[in-house]
Amino acid sequence: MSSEIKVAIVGQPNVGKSSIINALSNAKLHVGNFSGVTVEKKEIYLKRDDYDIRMTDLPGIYALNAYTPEEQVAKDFLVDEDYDVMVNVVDANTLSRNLIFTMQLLDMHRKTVLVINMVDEIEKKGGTLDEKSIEKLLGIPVVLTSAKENRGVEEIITQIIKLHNSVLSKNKIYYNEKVEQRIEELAKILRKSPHFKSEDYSRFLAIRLIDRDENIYKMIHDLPIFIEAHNALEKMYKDLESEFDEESTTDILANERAAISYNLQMETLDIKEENESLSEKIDNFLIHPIFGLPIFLFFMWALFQLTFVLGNYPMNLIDSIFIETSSFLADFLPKGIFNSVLTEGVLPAVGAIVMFLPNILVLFLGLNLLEQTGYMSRAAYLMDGFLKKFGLQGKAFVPLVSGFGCTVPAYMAARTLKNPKDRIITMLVLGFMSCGARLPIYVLLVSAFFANQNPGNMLFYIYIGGAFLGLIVAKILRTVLFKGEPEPFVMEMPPYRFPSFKALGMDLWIKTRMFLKKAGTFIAIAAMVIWFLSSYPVNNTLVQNYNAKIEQTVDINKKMNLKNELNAKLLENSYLGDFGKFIQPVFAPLGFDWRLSVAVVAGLSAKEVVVSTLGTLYAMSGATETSKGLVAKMRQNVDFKAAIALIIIIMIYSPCLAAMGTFYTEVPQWAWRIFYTIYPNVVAWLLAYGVYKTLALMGY
Amino acid sequence: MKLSELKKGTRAIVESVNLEDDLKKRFSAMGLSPGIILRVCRRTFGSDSLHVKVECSSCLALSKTEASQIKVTPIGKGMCLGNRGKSEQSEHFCDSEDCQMKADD
Ligand SMILES: Nc1nc2c(ncn2[C@@H]2O[C@H](COP(=O)(O)OP(=O)(O)OP(=O)(O)O)[C@@H](O)[C@H]2O)c(=O)[nH]1
Ligand SMILES: [Mg+2]
Repeated sequence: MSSEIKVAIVGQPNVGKSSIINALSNAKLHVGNFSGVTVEKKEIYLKRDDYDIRMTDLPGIYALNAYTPEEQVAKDFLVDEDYDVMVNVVDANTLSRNLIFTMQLLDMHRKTVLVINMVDEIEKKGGTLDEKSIEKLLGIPVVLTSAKENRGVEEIITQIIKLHNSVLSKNKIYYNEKVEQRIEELAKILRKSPHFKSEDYSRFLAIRLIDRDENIYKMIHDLPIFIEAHNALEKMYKDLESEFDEESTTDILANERAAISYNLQMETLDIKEENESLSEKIDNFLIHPIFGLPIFLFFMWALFQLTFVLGNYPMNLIDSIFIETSSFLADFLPKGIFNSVLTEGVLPAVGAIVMFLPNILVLFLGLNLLEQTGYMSRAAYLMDGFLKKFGLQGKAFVPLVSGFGCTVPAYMAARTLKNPKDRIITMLVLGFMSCGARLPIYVLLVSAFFANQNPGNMLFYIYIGGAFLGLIVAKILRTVLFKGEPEPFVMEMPPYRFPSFKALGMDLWIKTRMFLKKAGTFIAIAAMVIWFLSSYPVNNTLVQNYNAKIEQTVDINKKMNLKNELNAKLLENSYLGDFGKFIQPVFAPLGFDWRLSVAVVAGLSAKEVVVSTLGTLYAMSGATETSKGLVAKMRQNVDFKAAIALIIIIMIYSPCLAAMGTFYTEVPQWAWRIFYTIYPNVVAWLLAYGVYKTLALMGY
Repeated sequence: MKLSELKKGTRAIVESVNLEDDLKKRFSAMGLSPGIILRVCRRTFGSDSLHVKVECSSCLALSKTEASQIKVTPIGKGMCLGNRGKSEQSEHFCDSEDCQMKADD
């Protein structure tokens, strides 16, 4: 019989918690070299011998006084949830600071394993760590690991199992006697309440209360013992503060813990501080006061150049593979509905979107490097002053730039913002950061209409322009709806780390798989729906009339033209045509025909569907010229002004359903949900109309 | 003097952090609290934000507003991580079998 062990993985941000779980299992948790990568708890199952180990990866948390919403997730789990063993991961590079948090965790007196990670970096600096002394001093098992080199991680499991099968050892950490006295006094009061019978738990709560932990204070607020506890607590605050000559009992405890941690580090870690580390040398260049921002902009520009240039090579190949396959299948398969659905509906749609996969991968690789190297927090530092001008602050940079990849995780990343106003503003403008799924539309339109300019530059302008617009909207929101200052900016800057090629490759592979899966399922089905809606009902008299005409014509070209005319008419009279014409008045001022209108509306489900729908619709209306790619067809059928208007609409209007769903779960207030659902579309339309009209006046 | 006025490269010891409670705890958990030695590595253009290296610990980015609420005293050479504890180690660790708190003398 196997038994289950529930394990909580906890530690300060960026110490390698997720990396360790990845090293232990075949999980592919997201890892990055900045604080706040993990923002929600994730469960991973492992099997070792007879044990089912259920590990929960928690967001990084600096201290038990949770500061930001994602830290609150971790704290709630630690305090309220049921688990057998706690694994506290610390970073060997910042050992004493990490140990301060360990002290807070030890206050809980639970079965704990201390994992000191990143020992490879300590070794590189010529340092040594004496884990046996730490073990002895703290009275808990200590494991040295390097998740990067996959060293020592299995030992964590061994220790977990060992702890699980033994009794909880004695607590070895004590505060100053004056503090201990008060802790015991308060714990006694707490134990009068049936909720806090346990010795350990009451001691932990007492410490938290003396530490002025507001969550815990609220927790006892409604209990019968509250008055007694409150009065005792007030007296303790006053007495302790005067005895220790400190402003707050929090400081007293902080000093105590700091002293213990400092001593621990001195006893066990032997390392010399480098004069100027490699990171500092790189920083001298990358975040130079004057050149820092231009360098950042250059990186962004280079990324979009590469996105276009590198992505373009395989693009034509993929495009022609799909075109050849579908025309081969069209002849090979028996004529009929199945043939048409496949070769006119699904394949052109899936092909139209898959051909942009290389572009998307280059973009994702760039964003991934930003995350993995440690440049992310530097960029946030560089942008802080700039973002303040728009009512945001440096930390908002992380969700905003993640929005260039995918809006869904970007909304989640906004959890790292403490101030609710900052958070909602950031989330409301996140849609302006064009996500990777919008890239195909831009590449398509840029290739069709700006082929003789530098297309990479155009992409850069579109993305930066969108971001800039978003910031202007943020400023307006801040002045009109959310008055006040943004939360203070403080962020850790980890050392630069060389990303592993394996991790980068793995990430791209996951993205590729997800993308292909979406193309093969969601987009294929959407294409089928579009095909059916645009093929029925068939107007038989129209078909007969045209067929008669075609038969009478001798000239091949004229025959072609008639056929195309018939197709176009049929499409116009289909359900989708009716729908298109029904909504077209909305888009007519922007110069959209009904097909563009349908594609834009369909894009609300997912942005990939815009291109795939265009693929289907243009394939159907010109069924006789399948050999011509979508780019050429767009150039033929869409006018320049309308193309620009389309770019603007795509840049601004509501993101996909998945993103909207995430916004709804993250923001509970209906007022904001409704505002969020409406305003981007209004702004998008107005701006597109303005630009369309201006271009018309300029004579385009 | 204020941290925001500290010259680039000068080491200084933190005297006090005069910020609201939440933020003070945050700074302290990130390694910036009274008694700590730090040094300003650089500022952004316009000095809106500072890049601070906390000795024997990590680098922090923070903005001028908060830095101006942190008081520091510049120092010359000194040891890594100011020795901040008044209490001795023996007070906190208990090795005997039936562990009793040791008296504070
Ligand atoms: N050199 C080295 N780097 C490591 C090691 N473990 C993790 N890293 C790197 O440290 C960074 C942080 O790793 P994560 O696993 O994302 O850290 P985390 O604790 O989950 O971070 P949050 O989710 O933000 O709390 C990544 O860049 C990892 O590649 C290690 O043992 N050695
Ligand atoms: Mg993580």
